[in-house]
Amino acid sequence: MSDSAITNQIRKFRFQNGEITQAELAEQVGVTRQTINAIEAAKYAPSLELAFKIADAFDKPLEEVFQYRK
Amino acid sequence: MSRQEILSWSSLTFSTSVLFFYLIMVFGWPEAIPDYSDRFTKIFLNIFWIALAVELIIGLTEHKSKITKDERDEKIEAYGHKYAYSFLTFVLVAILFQMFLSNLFGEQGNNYLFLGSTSMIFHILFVVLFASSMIKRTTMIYHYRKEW
Repeated sequence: MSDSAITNQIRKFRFQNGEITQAELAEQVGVTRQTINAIEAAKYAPSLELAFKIADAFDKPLEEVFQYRK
Repeated sequence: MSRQEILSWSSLTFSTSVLFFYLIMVFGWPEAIPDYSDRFTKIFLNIFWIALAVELIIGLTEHKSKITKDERDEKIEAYGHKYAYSFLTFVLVAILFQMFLSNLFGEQGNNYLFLGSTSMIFHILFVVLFASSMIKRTTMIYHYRKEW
């Protein structure tokens, strides 16, 4: 599981949404805090379902939260 | 460190200690090395109990924690399974090939056996079982650690 080609704005949106912690976001979307940390650091590419859940938690469209790095 | 990673560490140490005890029990302490069997046995016995306790605690508290395993843990576990399965398959094929050769050449074939008797095959299978578990856990730990 090398560095993912998918980048994200999770950190930015966490702070824009009342500075919620990784643990709080993890609980909201049903994963462990370590997984959120790995996604945020672009070390792990989430499944499509999880990506939608994360975007939904921030009330943003998917493409605003996740970007594909060519 | 996630619960699944802690479980991987404890499972790895558990398998290692079981394998150590089994090898010492079956083959004895190697003559070429000075006899530290008492010291090593004490160390591995302690490791064995600690690992067992950790696994039991994690197992018993599994349902109390909200989220203990997710898609990333499953993906990492799949990597572990892949390598463990490949190793297990390779050894089983080697044993079957050995048995096939043995049957093909009859008595003469026994001279070329690298596994020896049937009891030796049992020991090898036992060792391989725990070795594959160690491979699985080591692979998982590698993937967990790689991310940090």
